[in-house]
Amino acid sequence: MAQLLEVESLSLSFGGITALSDVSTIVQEGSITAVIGPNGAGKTSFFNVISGFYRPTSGTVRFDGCDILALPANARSQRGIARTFQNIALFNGMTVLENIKLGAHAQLRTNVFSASLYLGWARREEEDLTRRIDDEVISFLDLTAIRDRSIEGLPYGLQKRVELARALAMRPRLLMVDEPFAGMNNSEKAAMAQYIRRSVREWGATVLLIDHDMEMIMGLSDQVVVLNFGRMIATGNPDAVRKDPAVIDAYLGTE
Amino acid sequence: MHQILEFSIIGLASGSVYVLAALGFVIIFKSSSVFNFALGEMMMIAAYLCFATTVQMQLGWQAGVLVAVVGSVLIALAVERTMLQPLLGKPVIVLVMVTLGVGSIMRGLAGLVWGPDIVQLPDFLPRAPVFIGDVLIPGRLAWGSLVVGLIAGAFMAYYHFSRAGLAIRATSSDQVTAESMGINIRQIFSLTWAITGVLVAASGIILGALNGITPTLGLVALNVLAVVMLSGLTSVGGVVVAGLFIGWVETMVGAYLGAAWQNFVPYLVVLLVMTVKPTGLFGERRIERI
Amino acid sequence: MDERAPTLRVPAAAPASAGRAASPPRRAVWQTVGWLILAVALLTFPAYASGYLLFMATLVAINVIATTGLNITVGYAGLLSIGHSAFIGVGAYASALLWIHYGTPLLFNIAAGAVAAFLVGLVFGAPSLRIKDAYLAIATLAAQYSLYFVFQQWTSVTGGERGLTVPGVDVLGMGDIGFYYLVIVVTVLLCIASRNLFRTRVGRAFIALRERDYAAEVLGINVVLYKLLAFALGAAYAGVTGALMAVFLRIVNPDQFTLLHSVFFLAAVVVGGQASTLGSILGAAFMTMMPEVLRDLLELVGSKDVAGILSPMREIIFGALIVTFLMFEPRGLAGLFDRLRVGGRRSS
Repeated sequence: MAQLLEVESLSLSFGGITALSDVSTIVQEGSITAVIGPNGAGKTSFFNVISGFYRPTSGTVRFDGCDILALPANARSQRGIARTFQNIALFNGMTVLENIKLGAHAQLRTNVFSASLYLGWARREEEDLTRRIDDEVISFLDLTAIRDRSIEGLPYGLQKRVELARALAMRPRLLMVDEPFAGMNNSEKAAMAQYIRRSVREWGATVLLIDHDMEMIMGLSDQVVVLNFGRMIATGNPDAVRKDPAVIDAYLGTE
Repeated sequence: MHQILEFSIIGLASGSVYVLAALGFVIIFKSSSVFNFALGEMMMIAAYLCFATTVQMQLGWQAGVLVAVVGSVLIALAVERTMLQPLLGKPVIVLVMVTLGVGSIMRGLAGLVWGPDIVQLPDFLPRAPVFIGDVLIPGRLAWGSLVVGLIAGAFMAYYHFSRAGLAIRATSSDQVTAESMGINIRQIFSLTWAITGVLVAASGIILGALNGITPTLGLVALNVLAVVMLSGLTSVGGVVVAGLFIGWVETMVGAYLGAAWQNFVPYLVVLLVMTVKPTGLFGERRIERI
Repeated sequence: MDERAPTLRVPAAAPASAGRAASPPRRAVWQTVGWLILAVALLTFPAYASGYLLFMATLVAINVIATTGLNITVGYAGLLSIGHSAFIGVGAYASALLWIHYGTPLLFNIAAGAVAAFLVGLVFGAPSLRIKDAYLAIATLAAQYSLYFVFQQWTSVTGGERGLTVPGVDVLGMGDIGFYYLVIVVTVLLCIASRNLFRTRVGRAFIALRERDYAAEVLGINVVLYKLLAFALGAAYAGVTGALMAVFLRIVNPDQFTLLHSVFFLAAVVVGGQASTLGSILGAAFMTMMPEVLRDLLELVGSKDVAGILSPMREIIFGALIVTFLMFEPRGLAGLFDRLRVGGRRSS
């Protein structure tokens, strides 16, 4: 299996605060890797470095063999990196379908001129996109019923699903999901876990996820990386990590 | 050389007038991220209130200053409470547009009540020129900047040493944390507007005393804006330095290049700051949590 | 890289689009009827309208263009622009000068006005958008005053305070009526263009910028570039407005492009309805008619100094409209219209 994401000695500091310290990990293509740790451990900072919002103080990140730290944030999606956010980052003033379509933004070619004319070419691209999203994403995530609803006022669990749909619309190679199970009840969690599994199996995506729900994580992941105070304190398969004394200490120690 | 020194001191003195208004702008912006586009008009209204009391009603300049300050605070609080607080939580652009609308209303009201022609305040600042060594400074300007210095000093003391000032600084630094420490954010917003009311009243009156009052007095807000931008939008202390500096630049440009160029200075400063050093001289780079 | 196919396999689900019903036919019929009625009304308007009404209708249409442009910048992309009238001025002066000195055809002048305003918009937008949205508002204010300064001082080119006198253009030999038709056509085309934008990825990107620009970034949207585009596009629309205005009013002078006029258009966007083409139309119509109604009211009340009162009163009313609509009717007249429409249908 190929190494899709290689993180080496990643460090990140803001002023006096060290968010990440010498974090290294390898994510195999087609696997599900979870990043866990107590609050403030640096998990979302880790995601933010990969996304391109923070420039690390040192270390490298290679995606599919290429150094992506050299790329600006908006260029990384073109490599096939998609991401969802901890506090749902959907766009008000648009419907579910329109939000999802934004996932495919980088793959489209319509510009201001062709858009304002909306004849032939641009119209075809738009209609093809609608069809593709309907066939692939909306049915996959069971969003048909709310396809044309405004996202404002949608229940939290559904919004999280729409955000996942948007990420999948990109046909990503790496799917970074930030707290997919937060605020959900058991049946919603089970459904989300299924969607994530199927994203890997049927879409060929590699998943990197952050969450606090130990049960879901252990049942879902191939590999678990544990952060605490910005350092990586354990890594391995879920069973090994669960029994690791350093991990137990980190979680119990902070309670 | 002597001439340069003279102009320089005059420049610094006139720059000091911007400082008070700039302080008012910064504390509102720092605590609530609201860009107060009505700042200039607030100065203008305060100046007119002073004029109305002192000249139109013949009650003397002390009463005029009192009415202007109290009136300015009341207006500021009224605007903040009735128009801005109900909109808290909406995107900042909405609140900023409201201040824009308020500024327009104030301009129109002033034009309606007092007309477009320039009016003058009586000389409550002594006219007699002040000499520093053998450098001559127009009396009103000298005394005006002295008053500004006193008020600015009082404000700084309040801001840095009082509990309320601490609360404002906490809110400006991190709203969420401040709130969790028990600080009533809404009260802080109202407080910053009330303080601004005092500050703009002082600077409006002094500016009016120096240059006369018209409904377009608020245009000076652009100079204040240049000061704030040069300072960095978020530095309270930096505003003092920036204000004096811009006052100096304007006076020198006006003296040696003419009045037309002097008017251009604020825009040039704004453009330069944005292209060269957007965070200004003393501004802080804020890192948003995503 | 291993032998797995570079493109992802996609789940072979039944195409969901196949079974989707067409949008309710009754609604489509009503919409088409509505548009037809509007088209007929617009076309036949000159036949029964007085000279004054024709003038006002043309003016409303011209203002619709500027409002639509500003709505793209402010309503859809969420960027505050306080210097819109300065860009109108750029378009007006550019096209007027071309017409006066080179006699170039009207359509060319309109395009030139749009391009000039677009470029000037880029000049003011680029340095500020690199940083933060708040700085754009400042830059537009700076644009407002510095462009006014240029209009006023560059006497050799712009005619200074007195401005330029613009010879008339006779469209299709039909005088005022011909010009009216031209303006209507341009307005309709530009409104359709704006609406089309928001059916595509470009428009969606603008809205994404307004809502959460960091999320837009990870979706592959070059945030700074798109913000700049939204801003300059609004300026281009303003340029078209200026070009039309120059020929319509036959004069161009700096006092047509002041802060008051920028506030006028902001009020039009707010009152009409942000992020809505219908809103732009309603807002422009409302704001254009309002000073006329105001003047009539003042004369009715027997006010002595109507001219002197009109200007400050306009400032009060424009400001009050912005504040009240933002506070109580944030979706503007278009929102009201929507509510009535939905409410009406539900009751039937």
